[in-house]
Amino acid sequence: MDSRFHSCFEEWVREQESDLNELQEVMQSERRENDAQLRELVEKSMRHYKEYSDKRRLLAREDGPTIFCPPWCTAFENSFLWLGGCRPTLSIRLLYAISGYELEAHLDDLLAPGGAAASIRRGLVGLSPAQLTTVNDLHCQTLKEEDRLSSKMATLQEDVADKPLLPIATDRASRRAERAEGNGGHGVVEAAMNVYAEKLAGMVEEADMLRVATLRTLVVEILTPLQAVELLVAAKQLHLSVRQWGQRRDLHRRQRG
Amino acid sequence: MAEICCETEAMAAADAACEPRSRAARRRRMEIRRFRFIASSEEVAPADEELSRKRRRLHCFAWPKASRKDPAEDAAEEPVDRGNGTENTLSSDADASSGPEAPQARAVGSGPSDLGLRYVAAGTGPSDLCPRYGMTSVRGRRREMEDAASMRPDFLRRCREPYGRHHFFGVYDGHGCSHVAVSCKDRMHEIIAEEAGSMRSGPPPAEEWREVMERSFARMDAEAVAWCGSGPRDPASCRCELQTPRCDHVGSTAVVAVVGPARIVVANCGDSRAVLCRNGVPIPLSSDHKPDRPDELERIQAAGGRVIYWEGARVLGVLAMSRAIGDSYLKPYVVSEPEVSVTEREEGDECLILASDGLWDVVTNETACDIARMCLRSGAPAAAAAEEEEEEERRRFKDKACSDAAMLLTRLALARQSADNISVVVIDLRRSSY
Repeated sequence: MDSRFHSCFEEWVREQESDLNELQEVMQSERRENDAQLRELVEKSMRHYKEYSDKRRLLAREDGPTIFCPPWCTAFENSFLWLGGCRPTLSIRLLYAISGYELEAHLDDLLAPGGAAASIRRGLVGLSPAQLTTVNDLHCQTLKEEDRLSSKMATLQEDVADKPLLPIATDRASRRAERAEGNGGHGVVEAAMNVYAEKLAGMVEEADMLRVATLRTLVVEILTPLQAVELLVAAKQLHLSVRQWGQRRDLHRRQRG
Repeated sequence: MAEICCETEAMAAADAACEPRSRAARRRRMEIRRFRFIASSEEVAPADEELSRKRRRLHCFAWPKASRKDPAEDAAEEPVDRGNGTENTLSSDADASSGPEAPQARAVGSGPSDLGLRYVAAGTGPSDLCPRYGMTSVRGRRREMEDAASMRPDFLRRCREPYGRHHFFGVYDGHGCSHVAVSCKDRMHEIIAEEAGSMRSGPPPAEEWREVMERSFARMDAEAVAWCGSGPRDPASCRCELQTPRCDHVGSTAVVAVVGPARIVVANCGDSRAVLCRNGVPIPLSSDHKPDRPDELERIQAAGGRVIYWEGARVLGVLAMSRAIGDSYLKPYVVSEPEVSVTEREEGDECLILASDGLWDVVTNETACDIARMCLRSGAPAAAAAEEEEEEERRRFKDKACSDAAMLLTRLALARQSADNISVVVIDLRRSSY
């Protein structure tokens, strides 16, 4: 396999780690009150995400199936993949989860006499009704797109049982004979496989666009800079943790096996 | 997606009715002034049509400032609004029609174009009498959206005088598909208004409400069932289009509340719930229709049905509630007959919460009540602080408290891993908040 594929991913993971560190640092410091600085960091994270998806697009055009089921990821990581990456709606589910945890944690304070709602207004726990409405709208749109791509993918996979691959498969015996005579016959198969690989690349491209666009709408348009940083921190932590858990699991399995 | 569109539209409508952000409201007012200007120069038709179309889209909701003509009148009207808001206790029916609003209606009626008149006919005049309310309806952790909620202030317009305004609120939690819930959202209040109107000239007295609700639910159910056999529909609106034979496997819960000057009528069918917060204590105004509720179990078995435990008690092992609108394949075991409660309003009434089981599965009545009260209480100082501001501004704070409450409840349900769609309506019943 081409090392460019692997290094593209490795670089992305390293970027995630350094962005995460930077975001966490800022949240510990008094800079967390500075919206302009937070916004800058959010933009930086989104820029990295976009650049990564641009690189992936070029690589996918060369080899769609590899991006689809990347051998550099652990089996555990790959089990979470949807069209070569995370589900676009994952960021919204993540938002619901973290804003909820914090609310639950603050609930007693909130209900205590004199517990002012104003004290917890900032951050994800202070998600406003208007924000929740737009998040819900985004969720609905994204789910619809996700379902559309899923069904497109299903069609693509089912098409293997059709032209041009099926006749080639049923014709296998005769082609085996041809090959023995040195006539080749691979050409047709290869062309068909290339067409499929190209379509896969198109799927990855569309899915990546949806992933980036959904996250961008969330962190740039809907959330406040502080909320956006909170969400990005959680998203990166989740991504890096899943990778780590997968590696640990693989290691255990190798040791046992 | 259609139900989603409806939803945002309803939200927008709710915004327009009872949450006028001051800037938006001002802009709207300006638009209206512009239209009026055109109206006087005989070029009324297109603008007028456009406006009435817009208004239809807003479900003819209250548009209190719409009848204004010019800035001078604005100024004159402000104290009128304020007077109505503070003095009206809603306990006297007469207040609703003979209060400070009457001269205003006359003033509009004598206006140069029919635009103003229409507003009065369609809107509610000053909507101070509509309780503040807030609504949230989200998909949450489910991939389908089958909940719907509707809010119709002053829905018994024909019999408003001299009985006072009645306001309608409903939450519908669909199953199988969203179309029954959406039909309920679109139709239930109209049916109830028709049934209530046919009783007599005014809204029915307490004992007759039961009958009105029962007839309305039966009609709603018949419409929902008929819908399945009806002609071609917008395919995007409904995913069960793909599985037509199972179209009768679709239904919805319905919990509706009619809030009048003196009493609250709640009719319920299914496992959504209405809870009244009175003096800090939650009082459920409906009782969930679960197949294992002893009287429901008995009713189902008497009809020859069975309740099978399959991930909870289910009628014939299928439906986890014992009453619903729709679900014709489970009749006569699953019925659409509602249970109706009529509650006299009291001084200590704080708020009414209507919600789907997405909330009630994970949040107790007590917690819901505490949260809603907390939000309403914390909204009060803000509203009081804005005393010097214009009326709009004060209303905004009160509206915000209600939608804050609805939202906080929704988010708590999400936090507690509610796996369902979540719809919450919070209605502020405190007299002072009108």
